Amino acid sequence: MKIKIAQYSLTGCEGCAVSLINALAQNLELLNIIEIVTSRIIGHPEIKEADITFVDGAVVTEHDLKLLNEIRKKSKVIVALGTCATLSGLCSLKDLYDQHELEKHVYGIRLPITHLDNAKPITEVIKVDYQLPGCPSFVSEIDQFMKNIILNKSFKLPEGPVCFECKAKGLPCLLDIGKTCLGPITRRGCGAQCIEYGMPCWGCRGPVDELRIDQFLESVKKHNVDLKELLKTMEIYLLKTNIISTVGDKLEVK
Amino acid sequence: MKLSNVVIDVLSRVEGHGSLYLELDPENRSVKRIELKISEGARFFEYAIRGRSIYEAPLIMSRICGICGVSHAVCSAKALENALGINVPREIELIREAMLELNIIDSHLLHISILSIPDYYGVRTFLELPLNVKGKVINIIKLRNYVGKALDMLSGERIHPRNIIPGGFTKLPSKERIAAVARELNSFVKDLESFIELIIDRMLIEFKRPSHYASLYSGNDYSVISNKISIDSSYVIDKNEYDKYFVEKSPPYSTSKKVLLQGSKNFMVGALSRINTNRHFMVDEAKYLLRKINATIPSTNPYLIPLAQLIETLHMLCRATDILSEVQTKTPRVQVKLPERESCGIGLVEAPRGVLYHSYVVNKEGRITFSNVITPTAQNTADIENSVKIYVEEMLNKSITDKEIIKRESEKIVRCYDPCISCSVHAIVLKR
Repeated sequence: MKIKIAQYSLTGCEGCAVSLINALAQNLELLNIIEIVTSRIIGHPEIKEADITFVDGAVVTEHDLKLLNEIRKKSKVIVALGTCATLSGLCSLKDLYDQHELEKHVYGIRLPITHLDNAKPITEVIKVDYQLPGCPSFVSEIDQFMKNIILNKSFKLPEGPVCFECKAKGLPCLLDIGKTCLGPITRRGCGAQCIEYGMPCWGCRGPVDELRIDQFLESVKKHNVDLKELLKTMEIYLLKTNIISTVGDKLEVK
Repeated sequence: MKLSNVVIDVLSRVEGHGSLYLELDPENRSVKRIELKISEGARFFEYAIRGRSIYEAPLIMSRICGICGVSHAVCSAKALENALGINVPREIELIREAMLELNIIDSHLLHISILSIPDYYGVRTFLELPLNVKGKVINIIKLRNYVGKALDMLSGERIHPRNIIPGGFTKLPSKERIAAVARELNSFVKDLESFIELIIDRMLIEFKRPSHYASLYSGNDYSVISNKISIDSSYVIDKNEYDKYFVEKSPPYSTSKKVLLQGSKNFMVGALSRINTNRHFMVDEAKYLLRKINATIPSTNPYLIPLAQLIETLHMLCRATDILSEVQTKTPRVQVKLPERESCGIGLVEAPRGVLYHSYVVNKEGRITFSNVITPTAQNTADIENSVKIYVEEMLNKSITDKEIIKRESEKIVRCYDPCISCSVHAIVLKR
């Protein structure tokens, strides 16, 4: 019996669904062991019972909410794929504004579909068995996850901050030069890709398990990082965590 | 008069959530109403980007789409540079061109090898293809994997790039690393040609329909970056005239906008439009292939879009390889000076599905105060509806009234356009 895989996309860019396809495309032999029973992109849009279900995107519309509850009932294991699914990602940026105001201002009309007041990560709506965060989710991590599942092994995200990977690659610290880098508070596993390409970390993998906020803020202050800018960077992916309010209170900036 | 409706609830093998609604009048053999409904949730990027820094904008805007992220990032950077009044050196522009070409190839090959190929062999998914075809498709998937690796190397991540900012790139790999990737890319040209020969005849489906087309134009290359748009190969407009010629409408049934030429006419953008406009500037291998197939170009037959995607892939693979094998990366970016007063700028690039338009207003602090994005699929929507309408009316005229056949054929036409629904759902700010 092949392992039945389902893939669903809620509201988002669907880049994580593409990442999943890319991971399979690099490992076509996997198709001897797994069977894709549901995936709109592949050509099977129907909701079916599955052993492993990947869900990307955030819960933004009433339809997303209904679909997600249905998916839970049909799936043995659910994997939240990507930052929209784990933290509601960039889908939350709009939550800084009033939905009705947005619709009126932006489309000039009320939208034909019903949006929830706030975007939610899927982890807030249903029980999720595994999370593979990242914007987009990482092909290498999806690959490792699949291998573990096939071998009946459990899967754990790596612990510790992005800084570990920066140091291992010998990359110069961006905080040292006053950039708003969230590497010290963000879970590693990305290979410090952004920093390697000169961009500070925006925290797409979510906070590390052992969060050392005070230590982070000390080093932020020491290097004269713009504190308002720091909070603004946190809005991109961390709006759904309590980090922004914690940091805001400690720094007394709003 | 009895009306009959055809509804496709979930369009499959397309990117994003969409459905198609047709109201038929079989007695008069006409389609009374057609709506391509886009039901994807809105994320309001253009509004949410307000107040953010110009350095973050390209990479945030990349997240509009998981297939054409690179195109959004480059287009955003171009528009911001226009607002800031800076021109980047040719070597930066060339690397951007190669990135756009690789993004277009990545997207086209996903469309051909997974989304659309089942239609040409009467199967539901690419996994059910006959063995001899599957082998060649696997070669194409391998090519796409490698194109992805090249983009990963150039920009950190193929789906959402990490290094694109106004002024150029935060960082680039060494020219030696880039040249090595170019050599590998070049080794796939033969596989691609052999795949095209295998599938080309199945892609030629006759369908005549009057329409219009638009693509970027420079007069000396197969443009993916330019400040000018050619319409029907007969007149050329400047990017600042875009909103004079292309008018956005908000249909009440969709979260996507419709763009109409001169406020009333449907038109197409994308691979076929680019070939219509710029085929003389393709590499010889691609020109040769185009001559070999028996199709009249220019054309607005949507069945030719996947074919145009393949021919264009061959051109772009050769072109990107040429650029990358001689690339210079000494100056990855130029200095950006913030504007003295609020300034606006427009950027145009060719994304996989056609002309992509970004515009921004930037204030003295280097923050965005206004933005607008017009995606290729928003431009193609009216044309998709028009093609399906005419095709279904032709079927009704031949007394084909079986709903399942109408559904299947309509979905095939929609799929030819390779609509990118995530992209098309976005906020368009009507008033400032």
